[in-house]
Amino acid sequence: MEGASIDASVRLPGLYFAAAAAVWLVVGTALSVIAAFKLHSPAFLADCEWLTYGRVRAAESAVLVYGWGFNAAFAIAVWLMARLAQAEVRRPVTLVVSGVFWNVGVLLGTLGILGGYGTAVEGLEFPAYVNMILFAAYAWIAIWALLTFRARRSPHVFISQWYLLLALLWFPWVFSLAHLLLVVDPVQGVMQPLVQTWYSHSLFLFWFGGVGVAALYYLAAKLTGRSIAHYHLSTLGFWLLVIFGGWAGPARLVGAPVPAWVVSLGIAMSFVLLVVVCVWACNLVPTLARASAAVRQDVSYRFAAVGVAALLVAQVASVLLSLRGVSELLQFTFVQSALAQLNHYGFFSMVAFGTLYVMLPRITGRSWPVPSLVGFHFWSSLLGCLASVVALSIAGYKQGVGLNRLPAGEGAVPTPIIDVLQSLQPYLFTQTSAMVLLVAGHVAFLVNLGWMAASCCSCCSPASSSLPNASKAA
Amino acid sequence: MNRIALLFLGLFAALAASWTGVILVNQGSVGRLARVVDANEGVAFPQPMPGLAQQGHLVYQDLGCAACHTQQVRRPGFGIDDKRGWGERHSVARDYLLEPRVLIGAQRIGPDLRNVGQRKDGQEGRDGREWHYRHLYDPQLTSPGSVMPPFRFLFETRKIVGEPSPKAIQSLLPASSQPPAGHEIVPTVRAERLVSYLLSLKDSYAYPEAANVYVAKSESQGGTAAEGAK
Ligand code: HEC
Repeated sequence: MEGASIDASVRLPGLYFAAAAAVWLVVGTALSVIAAFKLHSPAFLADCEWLTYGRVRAAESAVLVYGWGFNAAFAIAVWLMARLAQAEVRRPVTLVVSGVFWNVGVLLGTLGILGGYGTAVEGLEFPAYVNMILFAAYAWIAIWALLTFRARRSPHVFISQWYLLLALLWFPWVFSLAHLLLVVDPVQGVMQPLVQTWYSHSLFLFWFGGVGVAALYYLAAKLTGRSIAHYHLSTLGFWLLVIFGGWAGPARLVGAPVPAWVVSLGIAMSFVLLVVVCVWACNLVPTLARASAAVRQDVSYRFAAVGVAALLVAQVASVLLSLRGVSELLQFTFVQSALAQLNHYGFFSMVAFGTLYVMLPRITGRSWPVPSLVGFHFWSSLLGCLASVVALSIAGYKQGVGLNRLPAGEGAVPTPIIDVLQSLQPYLFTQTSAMVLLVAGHVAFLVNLGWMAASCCSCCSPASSSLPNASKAA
Repeated sequence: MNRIALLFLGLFAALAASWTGVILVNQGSVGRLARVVDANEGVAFPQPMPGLAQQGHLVYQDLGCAACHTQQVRRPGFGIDDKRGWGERHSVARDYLLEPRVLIGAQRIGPDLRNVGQRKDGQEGRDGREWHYRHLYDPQLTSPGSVMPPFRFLFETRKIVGEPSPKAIQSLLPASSQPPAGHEIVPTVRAERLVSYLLSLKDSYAYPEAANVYVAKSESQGGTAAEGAK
């Protein structure tokens, strides 16, 4: 099977999911800017109920997860599945149809949150009925990807495919269980936070982690043109992740009124996950390090390298943060936001950008219309992400010390919370600027992508495509 | 093909195991927790929220107050929640038994609100209601420098028709926030519900499990823990 015809079969769904993802990304980061701005200027847009802080935050995370993250993951999963299976995607239009349903769901859900109909469950904020639409659309897309896997022509199943299968199969279970236990018929009392952390942890570890790591293995091998270093270890890492990953979620609930043993077990399991992190490091770092000087200039390579670094740092940091002594200080602070930023943006989004920059030119047969925008996107993403993670970490540390430590001296009283907040102002300003930088980069990405899609569509549309043929025939 | 079957089976088994371990087992214990009947008072605790407060809980939920406020008091020695006066005791699982949506929160930009009803009791007016109205209308009035957003959309400025409303709050506001002549500012139904909810927030009943504060010496370097536990 020719690579070109496989790529061509992904053209329509790939472009659709990538474009939808890019639009949601701009919307989501614009909401991040609003939320970040409100933290130092609370009067900003305060009289608009739809844009009150709590709702903007919920909408922001829902848009970035279900709008940007999922659409990007769909694009990547479908393309990688087809490429690695060396099989064409059949009837790609059906993927676009279910993709439209998915995005209508995300749109309704986002308006629902802003209008006050959200569920207030972290990670499942959309109104209940939206989850049904999402589930149906998801099922179709996942089945299509699995059918492509089934039709594979290549006998070898590459590690990326394992991770993709993990992501595709695990998500519908956790999503539907969490939906039933939290939204449809909520479980009693503190079972709710327990189910919630189990869900959001699984979502990030198995869905975004699965697709992201699959893409990293693929990019590392493809871009450098070498095989993965210590490849035999990769299955070990995979199975350790599968077996122990699902237990680590409750580590986040240290000190919460839930049974202490689930939390302790969660912390122990997150230590096991460190082994998985070592495997990823052994596989990916040496492989990427072997790249030639020319490859290092490639923007996808750079995005992938940043993604690997963020993945490793974020996983180690999350284990450290779950330790009791550390979480006493840093739980409930901006350090957690910094970690989330590192995980979702530094790792997943960077890897997704890297993959899309390789994938889109191949499926459309066109190069990026404005190459300088590609570089701008990379640098603004990198600097914005770094600035945000650093600013939030410092802010969170100061917040943790302010909230949880008595000032030195006999008979000291706790620092008033407003004084603590005032001392964070410079960092919260930095966070806003970092978010503005990200929006700029994302707009550049969207413009470039839109341009590419437009030129691709104009030559595929019947009117113009019949012309060259006709003239050729003549 | 067999390896693939194994993969599918393995994935499913791992998922089922983590679901059983994390959710199902706990569902059998904390998920089944019952109320405690106090023999002296002849009432079961926790008591259901009053109806107005229950509706206020929905307002709290839909405005996303939980983005900045936790509702879980950490035990003495683990943070200084006790010294901040955020609760007489740490929160226990039973406290949340009757809540339709448990919002323990994950970010403390503002103070923990688990016992805010108790804290504001007796401040400005009978039960602190006026304090909350002022605070929600404009947090800068009660807490200059706060980053909590104003919730002015929970109040209505309207023309006085006939008798002025007994609920009007403009007398609590400074000169700069006064309505035009002949107008008054009244809390909307949602504001009344929300404040009723805030006032209902107090975990005062001492459950047996709350009395037994298990602060291991090794975990919290000595002194502070013992002090907090008493
Ligand atoms: C942007 C974050 C933010 C949001 C959103 C927010 N708050 Fe606050 N809240 C704060 C901060 C900061 C303080 C401390 C300073 C003050 O009193 O305003 C506070 C204080 C409070 C207090 C006083 C607590 C005390 O012990 O004095 C109450 C009550 C309160 N908030 C209720 C709410 C309610 C109800 C909502 C939702 C409608 C809400 N807050 C939304 C940040 C927030």
